[in-house]
Amino acid sequence: MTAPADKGKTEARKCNEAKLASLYEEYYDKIARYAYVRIGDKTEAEDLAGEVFLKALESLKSYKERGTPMQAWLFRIAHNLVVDHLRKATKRKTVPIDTVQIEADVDPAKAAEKNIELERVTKAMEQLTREQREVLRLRFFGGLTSKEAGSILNKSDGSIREMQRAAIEKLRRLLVTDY
Amino acid sequence: MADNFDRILDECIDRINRGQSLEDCLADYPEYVKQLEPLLRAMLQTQGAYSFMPSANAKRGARQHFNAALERLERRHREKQPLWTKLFAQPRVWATVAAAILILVTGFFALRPLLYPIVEAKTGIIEVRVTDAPPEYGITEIWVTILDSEEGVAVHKAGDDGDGVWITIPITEPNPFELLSLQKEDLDTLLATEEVTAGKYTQIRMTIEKVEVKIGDGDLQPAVLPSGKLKFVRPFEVFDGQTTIILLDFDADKSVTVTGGGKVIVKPVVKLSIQQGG
Repeated sequence: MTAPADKGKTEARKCNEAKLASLYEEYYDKIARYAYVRIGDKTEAEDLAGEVFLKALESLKSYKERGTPMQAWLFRIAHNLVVDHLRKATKRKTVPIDTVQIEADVDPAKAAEKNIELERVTKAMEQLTREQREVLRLRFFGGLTSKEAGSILNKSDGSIREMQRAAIEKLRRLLVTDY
Repeated sequence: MADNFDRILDECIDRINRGQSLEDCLADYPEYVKQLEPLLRAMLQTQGAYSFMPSANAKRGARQHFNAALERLERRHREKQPLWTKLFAQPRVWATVAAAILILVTGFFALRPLLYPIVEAKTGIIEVRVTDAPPEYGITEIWVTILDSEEGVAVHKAGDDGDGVWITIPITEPNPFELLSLQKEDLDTLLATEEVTAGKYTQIRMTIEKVEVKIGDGDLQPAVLPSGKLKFVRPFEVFDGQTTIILLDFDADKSVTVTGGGKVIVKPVVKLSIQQGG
């Protein structure tokens, strides 16, 4: 006979664990892509995506919905881990931009073209403000809705939409300009 | 008008994220095609440049780690359960013991008022959060590391005898954390949380292990920290079933000084506020 308060807590914990496990399939890929855009290394992005779920499991006790959906909370953890990773990378003096690896069955010319395109888009993204970049990363690569992105950045979905439009307009201008 | 266009663009981005085509979105908004199309193409170009599908092996391996961690956690929770809870999970034992307990409980409640008054352990949750105010001196990053031990973050619970006891609040989020990202993104971040006994608390203490600062585009450099120990004598109460948020607002402007020689000195100036959550 468990006390009702304990039983409620146990049920809430189990419910949150089940919810986190159910998000794994869909959000592992999205978090890995989000991390890749920020750290530029595919293997490390994959490791980091796995780490996000482990960290989330450890911190599940501190998760409370309060308007932040669990998937948005995962991206907040991902953001913190990426920042931590970049800080360590800066200390190690590594270059945080990946080059496209030429695999055996890939046409080298196409791979080189992809590499140039990646550099071009990366340079354009760097011209955006920090907040604009984060909005696009969460929307384009994390696949979050504006409302979910807003819950991470503490902004209304209206201001996320406005920031998003301004960011894409600027990105487009930069991409059509040959620099 | 602009707001309406923002909504349409937003909807098209969601639809493309869900796998619909650019053409399908444009067909629904013929009057906006000229404005929408270049923006959505820029989106697709950006997504295409970073196209990356995590390897099935990496995903499977990470999933196995996650499942193993989940099982370990479940085992830990089971082990934490008192013996009588474990026994009750077994039907035969339950059936045998239930009758005896019924008799004991009935007897207990009948005699309870004569024995002693009700004493129930009530608990609430303490969350320690941090936020900050902007700095000067061209400082672009401030990394704060909280000492990860029982000296890290702790609260003092008042005792009946006047002594009381210090309770450690375990650090839950990535440590160190970058203070200025909180200010730029207008966030506070959860630093530590623990379920504690409801009641009156009198003090909060925190020990900062180190601070590293980045000026402009330079490298991170360790700051001189004359004393990282912060102590607040501030009575507050934790109520049963409620969350009490202790918000530590770092005033980065007043905390950080850069000397003529470029040495960075950090004397933490922190404003504390207590909020009662739900």
